Amino acid sequence: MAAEKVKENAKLNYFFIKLFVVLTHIVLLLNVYLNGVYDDAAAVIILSAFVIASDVIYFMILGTFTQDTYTVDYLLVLIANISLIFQSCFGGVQFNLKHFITLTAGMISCHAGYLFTRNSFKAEKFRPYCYAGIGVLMIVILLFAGSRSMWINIGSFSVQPSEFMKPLLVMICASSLQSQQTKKKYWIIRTAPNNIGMVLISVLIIAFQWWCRDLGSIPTFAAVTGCALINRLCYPKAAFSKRKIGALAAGAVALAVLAVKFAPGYVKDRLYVDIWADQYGNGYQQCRALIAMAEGGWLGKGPGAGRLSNVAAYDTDIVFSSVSEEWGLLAAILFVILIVLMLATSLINTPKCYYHGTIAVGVTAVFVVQMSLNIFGSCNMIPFTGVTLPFLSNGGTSIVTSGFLIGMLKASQSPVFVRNIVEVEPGTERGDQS
Amino acid sequence: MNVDLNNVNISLESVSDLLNGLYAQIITFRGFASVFVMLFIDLCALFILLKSGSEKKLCHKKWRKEFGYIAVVEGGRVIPVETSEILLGRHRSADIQFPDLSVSRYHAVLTYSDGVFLLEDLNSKSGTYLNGKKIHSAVINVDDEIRLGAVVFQIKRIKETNNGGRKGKGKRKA
Repeated sequence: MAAEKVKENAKLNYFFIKLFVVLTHIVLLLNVYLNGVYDDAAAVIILSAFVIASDVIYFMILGTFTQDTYTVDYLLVLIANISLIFQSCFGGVQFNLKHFITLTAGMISCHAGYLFTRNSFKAEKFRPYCYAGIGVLMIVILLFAGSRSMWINIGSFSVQPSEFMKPLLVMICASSLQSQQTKKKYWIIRTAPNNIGMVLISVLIIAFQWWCRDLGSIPTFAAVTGCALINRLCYPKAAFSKRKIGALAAGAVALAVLAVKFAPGYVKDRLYVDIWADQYGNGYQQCRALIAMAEGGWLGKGPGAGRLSNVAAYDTDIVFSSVSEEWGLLAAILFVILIVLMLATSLINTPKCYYHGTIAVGVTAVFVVQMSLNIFGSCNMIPFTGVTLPFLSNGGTSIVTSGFLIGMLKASQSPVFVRNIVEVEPGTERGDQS
Repeated sequence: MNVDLNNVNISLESVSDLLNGLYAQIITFRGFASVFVMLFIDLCALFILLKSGSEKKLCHKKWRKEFGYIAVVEGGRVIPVETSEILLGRHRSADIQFPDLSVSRYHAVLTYSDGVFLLEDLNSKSGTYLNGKKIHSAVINVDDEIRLGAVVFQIKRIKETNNGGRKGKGKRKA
């Protein structure tokens, strides 16, 4: 079977893609060398060596994988090393080793996510463990993160365990056609057992995030659950019930109004702050971010020439503005478009099974909401939330989680349909489906 | 409707300023380098997307090779099987619709994995029968007779035409 796959994939030649990925990185590095701000050219040489060497190593490793499609992988390599170059240039060119390590971990995590979910039948059986995993993460946060915090400090590293809940929730929200349609009656509701579990765990996660004061992640979890609910209420085949969607939207609006009404004081301050009137208070980061974007213009001030690196969270929460300042608004938008293209690959090569389709919807929901919160928050179009931009923001937990989610997306492109079916005489009822 | 021409002039000037600003930024060496960088990123993304289209075709071929040209044949209808899970039922939103009152709205699911078809009943009222025997879940073979309520159909291997198309390509719904 595996040999057959290799033979089939050998028909497609990825040489030009590899060449263009490396050339794109070389052009970016040349731009750093010619227009960048650095004290020593050795910094650019080290950065170039790591970028090109990692390109070659990733390609060699990709050559050993047996998959049906590789476009997500190549897009990820392109995005990862562009991100490394961007991050290494903030406030002066210097190779960012930490970001390189986390990106490498993200690539490994991507393949782990693929292996974990490529077989929809096996992946669906992990669902009870996903519930358990979320429970364990909550206990870990309660025990080790301290009062109302989501961060665990281990030496010089900080881990945000709640990030790991995202792929787990996506897996819980994914469903095969069979399990979605096997309904039971609970009191007055007739629904699939997993629907009850999914709603309960989502409510629990959102309540927990609220309690921990990590309100920025709540829209992401809510979006994943909302998309899954729409899938479950309206599937199959776009039979979108206006009444059901209307009720769901009304419920979401009511919850949002209640959330704003009962939000903590500091959140209300951010919601209603006039950033220009409060430039040195709640509007400090957004003011600096907007000024930096304006200074950068369309094409940027040049790699390493930015001044936003003096502002807190320049490489995480307002990273979009940092890139806009140094590389220009067009380059920053282009980076976002690359991520959107990666998500859009599942529209080109549509998933062959319903489980992977729902996974793709969940992963897209996570990425779109996170990117929107980060970018529109930086631009003062919505309140500032402090959410990371996938693959661009500096942050190990975020990159590893994003990598895992992209691996799940990749699984929908290169699925494996193997199910351990107990051999029975044709026409005979099977007792065991394992 | 009143149009304030002064405002229109201002907005046109703004657009003009914007374009002039962009031009002024591009004609510098740094600007030219930035445009060159973006051009390469665009080209790279375009190459990858084009390859994605080729991969789609290859996946389709592989799917056909592994799956064969399989179809649900009911009366005069021939409905090719395109995905690994197919919902059978009376409801208009089912993947394959049987507009017969004896069939439940969502009656059964046909699943394909590793060369094997599996038919699973979704607790339907009239039941699912395979070669005359009531089943809840069963492995099925090509040419087996399946009955959902009063509707009888078969899973058949359909012939492939010379140009790669299928013979008897039919509508999914009646």
